[in-house]
Parts: sequence; structure tokens; C-alpha cells
Amino acid sequence: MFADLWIISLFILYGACGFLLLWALPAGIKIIRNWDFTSSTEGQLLLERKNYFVSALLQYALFFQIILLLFFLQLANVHLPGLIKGAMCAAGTLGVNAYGYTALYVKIAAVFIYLSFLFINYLDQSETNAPLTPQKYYLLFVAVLVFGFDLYVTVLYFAGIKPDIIAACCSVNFDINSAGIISAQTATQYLKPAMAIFYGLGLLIPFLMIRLRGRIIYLLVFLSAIFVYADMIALKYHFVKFIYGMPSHNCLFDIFWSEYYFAGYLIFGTLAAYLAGVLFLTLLKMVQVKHLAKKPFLERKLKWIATVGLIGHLLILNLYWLYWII
Amino acid sequence: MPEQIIKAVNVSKIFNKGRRNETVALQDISLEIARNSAVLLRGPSGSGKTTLLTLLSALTKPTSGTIICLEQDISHWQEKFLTGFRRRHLGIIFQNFNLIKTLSVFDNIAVPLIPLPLSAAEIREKVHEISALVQIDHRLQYKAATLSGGEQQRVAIARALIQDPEILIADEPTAHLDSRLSSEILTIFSDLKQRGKTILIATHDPVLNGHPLIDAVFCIKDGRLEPDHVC
Ligand SMILES: Nc1ncnc2c1ncn2[C@@H]1O[C@H](COP(=O)(O)OP(=O)(O)OP(=O)(O)O)[C@@H](O)[C@H]1O
Ligand SMILES: [Mg+2]
Repeated sequence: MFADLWIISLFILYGACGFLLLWALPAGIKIIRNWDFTSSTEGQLLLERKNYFVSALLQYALFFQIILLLFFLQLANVHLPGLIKGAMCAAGTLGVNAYGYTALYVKIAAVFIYLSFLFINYLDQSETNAPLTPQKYYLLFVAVLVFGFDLYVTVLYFAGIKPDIIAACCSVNFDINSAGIISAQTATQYLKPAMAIFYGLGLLIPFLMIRLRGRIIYLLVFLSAIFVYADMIALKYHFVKFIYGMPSHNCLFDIFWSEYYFAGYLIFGTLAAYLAGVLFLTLLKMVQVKHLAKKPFLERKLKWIATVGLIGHLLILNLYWLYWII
Repeated sequence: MPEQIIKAVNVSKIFNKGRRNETVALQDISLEIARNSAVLLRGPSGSGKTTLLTLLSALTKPTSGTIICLEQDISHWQEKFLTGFRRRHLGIIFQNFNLIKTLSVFDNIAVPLIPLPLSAAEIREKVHEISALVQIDHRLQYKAATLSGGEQQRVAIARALIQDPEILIADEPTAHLDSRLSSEILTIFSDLKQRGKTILIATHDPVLNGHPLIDAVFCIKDGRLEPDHVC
């Protein structure tokens, strides 16, 4: 398995990411231990320069992490099905052992952690007195831990793939609750409430976004979590049918294929824009309490990104459905 | 009452604090500099003139105290903001020039223009104009390293002036010039002051004693401000 060219490429990407993180880590530790903004010693000046350097490193790390995520998805979705019997897309290949889905989720989480660091760093650098240094470097530790965990799980995942194993996949009728988000049976049962939540929150959230103030953002985080869950069920057991034009093909992954015009990237891309918007607004709210001047322009921009992302997401899905009905 | 452009409140600077080679370079300095004035900083060698200039020009941060420059408290900014501040508002002539030895005089003078959205022709025009002003235009293609002390000094002055800064900070600007060139530089300074600039000069050159350009004199000794007559 590990001699496979795709998998080797994946681990080269890990190498790039890990190299950047391990380069940034000692600087982060030094800054946490020695940061003294009121002093202007040679050492402090050096730390301030390191501060800029680390943010540059992590920007590249984020870039590689996003490539890594997309590459892993493509690997599981397009390449591995050729190696694993019975698997037709990532739903099958990721489900062959207990680590596949975790490996995917951790990679998504990692992207959001880098985004968090870079956003906090951006806020930090926008103030003359760097109010969020050195605290922001604790996120670097989280990033390193998640990186290590990701690598560990991914190695276990590939090591656990037995060539003679027969995988289950989406359109197969038996239950895949060990692999999927939720089993097929419960899903159809919950589809109606999930659809109701999907539309209900889909309308409520943009409204809340416009009137966002005070602590409403924390409510929004809570509602977003529920929305994403309902969204996944609605997507998997309702909307994808209209993308594939097949009534029983409940797969979240084929929509990334060229046959379906890479619709998955658009659908999950808009959702990611929404979630990133909410994440940034939450971080802004959290650090603003003590440290930052108000940033109304930034806040407005983030609200726009989140709202446009969410509405775009809803629109794309419903247009597929409408197209089918008409 | 003229408006203050620079204000220092209880500023101290201690080098190598807490180590064996701890040096108290400045102690509890408070001063105000009026907009569009020319101020002289006097004091014996090692008294802290250069240190005070680096603080007032946002090159270093004070150990304690506050520095207000152009109505902004710059005493505790991160480096990135200080760099931008200096670039926009300050022209600095260093005591040891800090020229880039391997570059030509032209390039040395043009350095502050690099981040600006100017065309090569505009840069050339500005460099020629300013180098004619300080009489170094006949050396534009020479390497900075091959120049005499006085010539290097004029390059340093040209570089400080090229961005048309609001505040000009000059550390011993006449130290390497003969008396004819010195008085020409002082004429340039007078001209700048007439155009609304604020000028801050540290020197022990007697040429500046009682010069009509100077509006105020600060005397510094062992890191403390003293009454005028001490210097
Ligand atoms: N970076 C530094 N580290 C340690 N000590 C320093 C540093 N810079 C200056 N000093 C000390 O601070 C004191 C004041 O120095 P400064 O250069 O300000 O004097 P000055 O008045 O400009 O002297 P001069 O007329 O000779 O240029 C001196 O004792 C010097 O040794
Ligand atoms: Mg000096």
C-alpha cells in the first residue's frame, strides 16, 4: 500500500506541512517564554521579527494543508476505489476500516485550526501593540498536535487496508453505520425533521446574521452545528439524488467527480465559506472583549462572506432539485 | 502657542537591563518640540544624544516613559508599525551614515522610494533633484564605499530628504563637512524649515551656536536634561 505513487505523494505533502510546523514550533515556544513587549532589547526585537516569520510559515502550512485535504479526498474518491474491491467512491474506501473517516475529519479540522491561527494573527498584527501575542501561539501547539494525530490516523488507515477486503458502498442496501455519518435506516426516518431543520435554520441564520450583535454569535455557532448535521442528512438522502438523477444513490462523494461537474466542490466550498465566516466572527467576538478596537468593516465583510456562502449553498442544492421537478 | 509635534514624558532608556553591563543612557527625560521649529540637542560625547534621537525617531523603544510623535503614542508599537511610521513621516540622518556600501550613490538615495508606486523616470527625477540640492549629483554612479566622509554625509542627507518628510532628524549632520559645506547644509535646513518642516539636530559643532535657524536648545549630560548654560 505504501509503495503506491498517490500515497507517496500524500506523504510528501505531510512532509511539507510538518517541516513548516516544526520550523515554526521552536520560535513559538521562544515567543511564549520570552515575550516582553515593553522592552526593546535585541532579543525582543528578534522575537518580533520571528513573530512575522512564523505567520508566513503558517500561511504556507495552511496552503499545503488545504492541498492535502483535497488530495486525500481525490485519493479516496478516485484512486483507491480501483484498489479496493466493492468500493466505488470514498464512502466505500473510507469505510474499510475505523480510521478512514477520522482521517478525513481531522484534515478538515486542521484547516480550520490554521485558519483560526491566521485570523487571530491578522487581528494581532492589525494593532500597534500586538495584543494577542504570545497567547495566539497556543493555537500553534494545537495545530502541531492535530498534525501528529492526523498523520497517525492516516498511517493506520492505509496500513489497515487489506487488498482482499470487500468494501460496502453507498448504493448497497445494507447498513453502513460503522462508516457513514448515520445509518441508512435511521436516516430515512429522520429525513423529514432534517429537511425541516435545514430550511428552518437556512432561513433563520441569514436573518440572525443581519441582526448580529452581542452574544448572538454564540447562538449562531450552536445553530450552525445543528444545521451542518441536518444539512448532511438532507444532502445525502435527498438532494444528491437530483444531482445524480438516481433515486437510490445516497452518496456524498460522487458529487466531486467530473461526471457531475465537480458540484461537490461548490456545495462544500460554499458551506466552508459560511463556516469560516462564523468561525472568524466568533473569534473576533472572543478576543474583542479585552484586547481589540472595534472593527466594524471587518465584521461586516465577514457577515457578508458567511451569508453569501450559506445562501449560495442553499441555492445550489435547491436549484438541482427544482431543475428536476420542472 | 505653537503646537507640539514631538513630546517625551519621563523617558528612560537602560541598555542591557539587569546584566552586568547595564548602562543607563537616558534618565527621566521630558521635553516638547514645537511643530515647524528647529531644535538643537547638545551635550558631551556619550551623554545620550544619539540614544535620545533613536527614541524620538521610533528606531528603538524606551525602557519606560511615553513618546508622542505626531499625536500618536509610539512608545510601545510593534516593529511593523514603527517601520511604516518612520517611512511616512521621518527623515533620519545617522551619525555613521548607514549607507549601503556596495550600492551606487544613486541607489542609496533611491532606497526609501522603493516601496512607493513610482516609475523609474519619476525616481530618477527625484534623485537628481535632491542630489543637486546637496551637491552630490556629480557622484551618482560611484559606489558609496569610494566616497569621502563629507560626500557620504551628503548622500545620507539626500536619502533622508528624498521622501519629503515632515520631521528631519539629524545626528551630527555637519561633522564631516568643511565650513563652507556646513553652512550650505544649514541653508538647506533653513529652507526646509521655511517649508513647514520640523528639524531636530544633535551636534557639538560650534557652527550651530547661535545660528538663526535654531529655535530651541536642549542640553543633555550623563543621560539627563540640564539647563542650557551647562553645555
Ligand atoms: N546599543 C547600546 N548598547 C549598550 N550601550 C549603549 C548602546 N548605545 C549607546 N550606549 C551607551 O549609552 C550612552 C550614550 O550613548 P550615545 O550614543 O547616545 O551618546 P552620544 O551623546 O550620541 O555620544 P557622541 O557625541 O559620541 O555621539 C553611552 O555610554 C553608550 O556607551
Ligand atoms: Mg552620538
